[in-house]
Amino acid sequence: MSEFTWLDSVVLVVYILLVALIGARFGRSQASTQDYFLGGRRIPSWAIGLSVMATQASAITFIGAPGWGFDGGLERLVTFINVPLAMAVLIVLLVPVFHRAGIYSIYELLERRFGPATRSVSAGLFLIARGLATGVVLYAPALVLSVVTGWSVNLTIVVMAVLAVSYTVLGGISAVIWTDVIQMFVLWLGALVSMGLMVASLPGGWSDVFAFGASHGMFNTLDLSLDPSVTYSLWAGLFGGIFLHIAYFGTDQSQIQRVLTSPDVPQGQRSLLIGGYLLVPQMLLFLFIGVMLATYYDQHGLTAPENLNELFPRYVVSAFPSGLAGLVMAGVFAAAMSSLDSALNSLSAVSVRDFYTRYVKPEASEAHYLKASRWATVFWGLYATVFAFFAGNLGPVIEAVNRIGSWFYGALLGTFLLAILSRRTNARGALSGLLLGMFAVWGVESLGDISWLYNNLVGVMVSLGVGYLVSLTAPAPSAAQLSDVVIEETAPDMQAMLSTRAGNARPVTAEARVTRRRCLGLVAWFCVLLAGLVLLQVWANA
Amino acid sequence: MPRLRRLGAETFEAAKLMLWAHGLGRDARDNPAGWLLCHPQARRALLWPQSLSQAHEADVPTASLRLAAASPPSSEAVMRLWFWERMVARRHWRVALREVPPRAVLLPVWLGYVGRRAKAGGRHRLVVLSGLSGEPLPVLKSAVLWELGQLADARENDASA
Repeated sequence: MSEFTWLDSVVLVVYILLVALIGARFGRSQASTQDYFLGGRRIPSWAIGLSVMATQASAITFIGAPGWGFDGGLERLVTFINVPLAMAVLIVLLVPVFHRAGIYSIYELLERRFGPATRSVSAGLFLIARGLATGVVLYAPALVLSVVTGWSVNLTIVVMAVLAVSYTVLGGISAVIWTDVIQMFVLWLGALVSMGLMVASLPGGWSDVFAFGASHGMFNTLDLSLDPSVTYSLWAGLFGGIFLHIAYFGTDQSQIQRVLTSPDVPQGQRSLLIGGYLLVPQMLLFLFIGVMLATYYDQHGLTAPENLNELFPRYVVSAFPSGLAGLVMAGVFAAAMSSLDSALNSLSAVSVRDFYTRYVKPEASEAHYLKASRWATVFWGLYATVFAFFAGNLGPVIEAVNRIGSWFYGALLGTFLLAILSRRTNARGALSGLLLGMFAVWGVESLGDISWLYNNLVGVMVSLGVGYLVSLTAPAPSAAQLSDVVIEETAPDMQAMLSTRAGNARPVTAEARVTRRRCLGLVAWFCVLLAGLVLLQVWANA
Repeated sequence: MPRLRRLGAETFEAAKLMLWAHGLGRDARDNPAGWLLCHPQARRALLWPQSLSQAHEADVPTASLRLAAASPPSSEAVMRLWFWERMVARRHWRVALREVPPRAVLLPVWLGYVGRRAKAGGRHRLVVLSGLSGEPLPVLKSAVLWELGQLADARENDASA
């Protein structure tokens, strides 16, 4: 059995120093909160897209997903199968409105549309949910490192928090995105090297993995059960999961803030395409590592650890040659950093933009707000650290994060949809919908026995229904309040006029409509993925 | 043109939209440091950091379509539009709107029309691009729609007369 050698430590330390240096480099040119939170709106779409990918492939995925794969094969892939469709909805519906509104925090839009109370409640909910989730994000990689180094988990949490906070404080969102780009490659390299080594250690190589997976039903990804209590049925993944991911990528400031750093709307939309195409294959990769680990454990007669989150790190320590274990641990670090930094920066953005500049110090200089933003990052680092100490009791880590989010994000998504799609909804309706939507999710989860994947669907539907109906009890919003979200051209007289003018205007030479083509591409990709899973399942059961 | 295509427009025309320019702040020569371009029907204003003369030097073919039916926005409306702009960018918070009469400016724009499926029950859509930079100007869309509506009403009245 190998141990974590000095060579491993060197690889890990060199990597950490590299990331810290890059983060510090971006801090030097920052003079305003726009630089700190939006990177001066100069970041290219491909970098934003890779950053979104890296955050999604957080340490929780890196560690938790192999545990999922070990336990249930690829069944949980249905949770992610909807991501291409969710991205298409974001590209068409949310990104243009958010970007054109010129906002830092997406909750600013809710104030313009519904007034200050809705903004404050939404932003407050985000701070609670993301703050808790950040604690879990910190806990998972600390757990891995404690297994490798023999340190206590709490000490490891503190060390990691100090590292993450310090370079996020220095570099802001620019450092977050550009370090994520590097970390994305380290992360994938770590995963691919792990796969290669595992295959090499099996006498039959890939055929052993496929034979073991097929004989144990690990490739059965599509459960067509209509029973809503079946957690990972195809319908839960499609109808529940799509709202989960629209809400996560569209109403979670830590995700959508990066899209706001793009120079214009088309580049913001393009950045989401990368995630739309690659997030499902990425999750498949990590789940497949779990299937490979199950094969490896079976062939070597090993007993899996009680906590499946320790499965992959234990394998790395025991099976990897010197140096490579350090590389994979750098991958774990990369994953942890890429999730932590974006969460801390977005928590700071919402704290400063939605609360500090409105209620604490409304008239201050940009330099003051920049300083306040950095202190807010430190505060959230401390908050996440304290919560991380208790995260071990929250059950399987990856599900814990999604559960925390699903109490809030469905209702939040419903409120944003009302803001954008309904002219009649007013402040009273929006706030009622938001609060009752959350209450409904809590009620369904407490009293009913349905898959947690439906939580966001319940939240969205209750929020939309209650929000609209309660709005009818108060006057409609003014034209000024609708200015950011409503396009009047849908009125019949405007349509008639546009039809006449369009008929008389000069033609633009034919070319595919890019946005529509992009969305159709994502829908086609979703169909390809679904067909692939069907074929895999048919082959495995043949 | 490529941008119009990318945004899905099938047909297009050039136009000039009349806006009212309100001075913002002051530079070293006591001239306005920027301009707030307003229209009574626009939901938001345009911030114009350059000299106003550039608005007349655009590389847009002689626009037969002149959209200039609106009267200047009220001072309350201008104040509200300026408030929104300051909300969006806090660095503008301390910049003052100058209390001088506004200047009328004709801003060149490209109007793109989208709606290939309109005959099958879909909708027509208007795309407004700046004739200067080619950037989409969604904030001016409601103003352009209103002006186009005024133009259509005027033609109907002429025909019935």
